[in-house]
Amino acid sequence: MSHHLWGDAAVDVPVRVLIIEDSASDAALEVRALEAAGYRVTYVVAETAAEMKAALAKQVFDIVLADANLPQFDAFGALAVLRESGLDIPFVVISGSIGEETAVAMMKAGANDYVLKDRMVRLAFAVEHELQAAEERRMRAQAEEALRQNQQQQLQIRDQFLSRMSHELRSPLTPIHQFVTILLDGLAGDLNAEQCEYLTIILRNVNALGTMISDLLDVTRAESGRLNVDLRCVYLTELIPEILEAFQLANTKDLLVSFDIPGSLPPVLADPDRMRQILLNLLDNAIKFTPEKGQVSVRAREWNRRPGFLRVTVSDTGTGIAKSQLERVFEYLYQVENDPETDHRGLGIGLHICRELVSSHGGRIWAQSRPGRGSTFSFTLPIFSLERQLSSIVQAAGLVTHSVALITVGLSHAAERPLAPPDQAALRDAWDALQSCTLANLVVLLPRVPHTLSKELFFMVACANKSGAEVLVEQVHGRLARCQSLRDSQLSTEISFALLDTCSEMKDDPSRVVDDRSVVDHIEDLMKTATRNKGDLYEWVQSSCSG
Amino acid sequence: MSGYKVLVVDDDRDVLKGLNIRLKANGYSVVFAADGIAAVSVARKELPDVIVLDIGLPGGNGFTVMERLGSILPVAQVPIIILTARDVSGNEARAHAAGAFAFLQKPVDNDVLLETIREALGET
Repeated sequence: MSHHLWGDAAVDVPVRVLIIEDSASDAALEVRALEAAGYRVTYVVAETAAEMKAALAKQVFDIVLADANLPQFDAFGALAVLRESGLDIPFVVISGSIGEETAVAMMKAGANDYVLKDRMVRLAFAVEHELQAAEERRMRAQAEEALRQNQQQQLQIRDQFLSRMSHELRSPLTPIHQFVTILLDGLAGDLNAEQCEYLTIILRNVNALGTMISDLLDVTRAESGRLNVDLRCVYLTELIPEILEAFQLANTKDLLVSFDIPGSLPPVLADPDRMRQILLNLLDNAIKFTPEKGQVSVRAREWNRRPGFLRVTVSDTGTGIAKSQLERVFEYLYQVENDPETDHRGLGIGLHICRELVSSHGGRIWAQSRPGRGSTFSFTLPIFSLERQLSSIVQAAGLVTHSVALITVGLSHAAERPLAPPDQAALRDAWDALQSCTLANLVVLLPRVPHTLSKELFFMVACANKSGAEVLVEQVHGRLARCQSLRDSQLSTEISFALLDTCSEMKDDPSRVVDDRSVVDHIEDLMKTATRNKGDLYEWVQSSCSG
Repeated sequence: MSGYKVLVVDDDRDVLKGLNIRLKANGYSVVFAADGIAAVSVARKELPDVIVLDIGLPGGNGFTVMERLGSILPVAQVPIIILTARDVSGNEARAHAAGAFAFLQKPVDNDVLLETIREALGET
C-alpha cells in the first residue's frame, strides 16, 4: 500500500549500514526492506562489541541498525560503543516485542528510533528520516563552524587594526611628551610660572590621551579574554601612597584626596601596573563627579565577609549614582545618564575594564551610592599566600615524589617598624635558631620576609609528611623556646604548617623517586623558574631578605 | 656625570632629538642610528654601554638588529632596552625571549627610562 511511497522517496540512494545482529536471516530481512524502498545497500554485520568497534574504526557508516536483545550484546551496549567512538551516526533499534519502557529507555540512551520486527515495512521510512536529520545536523554544524571562523577573522582584523591604530597614535604622542617634559624640566632654559603652568596642562592631557589609548586596547582584549595580568606579591601599604602621589598631577580641582591603609595589612597577589590602572580609573571618576572642596578617600582593610581577601574602597562626596544605574555602570559602553548641564560622558569603558581586571585577579567590584551624598566603589583582592603559590608550583611540576610541607613561623610585634633594638636582636636570634633546624639536610629556610609592618614571617620548606612536619614544628618550638633574647622580647610567636603536596611516599614508577636532598633542590629550582615565568616570587623573597 | 655611552636607535628624528637632550642632561654621551643597518655598524664602531632600541625600523626591525648584534662578539653583551610604540602584548615576551634587558612602551616616563638605563648598567 504505502510501500511504494518510500520507494519513490529513495531511488537508488547508496546507504552504508552497520547491522548489529546475530541472526543472518534477520540481517537479510533488514537489507531487503531497505532495498525494496530503493536504497542501494552495502552493509557489515557485527555480533559483539569488539566487532562493532573494529567495523567503526575501519569504514564509514551512514546508519546503525541494532537488534535490541542479543544474548551477549544488546542495543544499550551498542549505543555505548557508538558514543565512545564519538561518531555522529544515527542509531535505529530493531526489536521483537519490547515494552514501552524499554523503548523509552533506549531513546533516552541515545537511540534515534526503533522499529518492530513484525513491522519491518516501517524501517525504510525510519532510515530515510534519520539520514535526513543527520544530514541537516551536518549542514548546521558546518554553517556554525563557518560563522565562527568568520567571526574569528573579523575579530582578528579588528584587533590588528586597533593594535596598529594605537601604535600610530602613540608615535606622535612620544615626541610631544618628550619635549613638554624637556621644557618643564628646564632643559631648554628657565621658565616663568605661567609657562610652567601651561606646560603642565599639556602634559596632563598627553598622559590622559596615553591612558585612553591603552584602555581601548584593553577593552578589546577583555572581550576576547586576553587581558594579561602579571600577578605578584604587592604591598598596598607601599603601592597606594605611590599611586596617589602620581595622581596629584591629574587632580586639577580643589579636592582633598586622602588614604587610610593600616600597616598591619598583609600583601596581596596582584599586578601592580593593573592595580594602578584600576585605582586611577576609580579616582578619575571620583574627581570627575565630585564638586570643588569635596573629598576623595582610598581605604583598604581585610574583608571579613570573605576570608583571604582584602577590600579596597574609593569613596567620594560627589553627585552619586541613582540606584537603578548602580549595577549597570560596569557594563561595556554604559554611560551614567547625567543631567545635561554637567556633561561628563567619557567612552564608557573605564569601569568595564576595572571589572574585567578585578575579576582576572580573582576579586569582584561593586558600587554603592547615595545620590547627592557621594559614591563608594569597592573591590576585593586575594591576600598573598606563599603556601598557595608554592603549592601550585610544586603540584604543577608533578615531579616531586615526596610530601612537601611548608612551615610558617610568625613573629608579631605590637609596634610597627622600625623595631626596638632588643626586638631586632630577638629576630636575628630567631633566624639563627631556625637555621640550626635546617642542618638535618631536608629543610630549606627561605630568606626572611617582612609580612606586614607589624609581623615577620619565616618560611621553611621540608620534605615531610604530616607526622614529619609535626615533629619539625616541635623541634622549631624547642629551639625558639631556648632563645633567651626572644623570651625577653615583646615578640609573640606562632608556628603552623601546611602540606603543599601530599604525594604518597612512592609513586608507581620507581625511577621517578628522587632522594630527599634533590627534592629540596628541586623546590628551589621550581621557585626560580616559576618566578621567571609568573612574577617574581623568588626575587621578592630574595630582595626582602637583603632589604 | 656618568660618562656612559648610549646608542639610541629610532627612525623618528624627533624622538632621537628628544632622547639626546634628555640623556645628555643626565650625563650620558649619546650616539644614534636611524635604521637597522646603521644600528649594527654604529654599535660595532662605537661600542656603547647600553642600547635603546626601537622595534619598527627600516633596514631590519629591532628583533633582527638584536639577532645581528648577538653574533658580533664585542657588542653581544651590551644590554638592550626596547623602547617602542608597539603593543605590549606579544612584543614584550618576544623581546625578553630575544634577550632584551627591558621592554618599555612609548611614551615612556623619563624617570622610568633613566632608572632602567641605570639598572642595565648595573648602577643600582
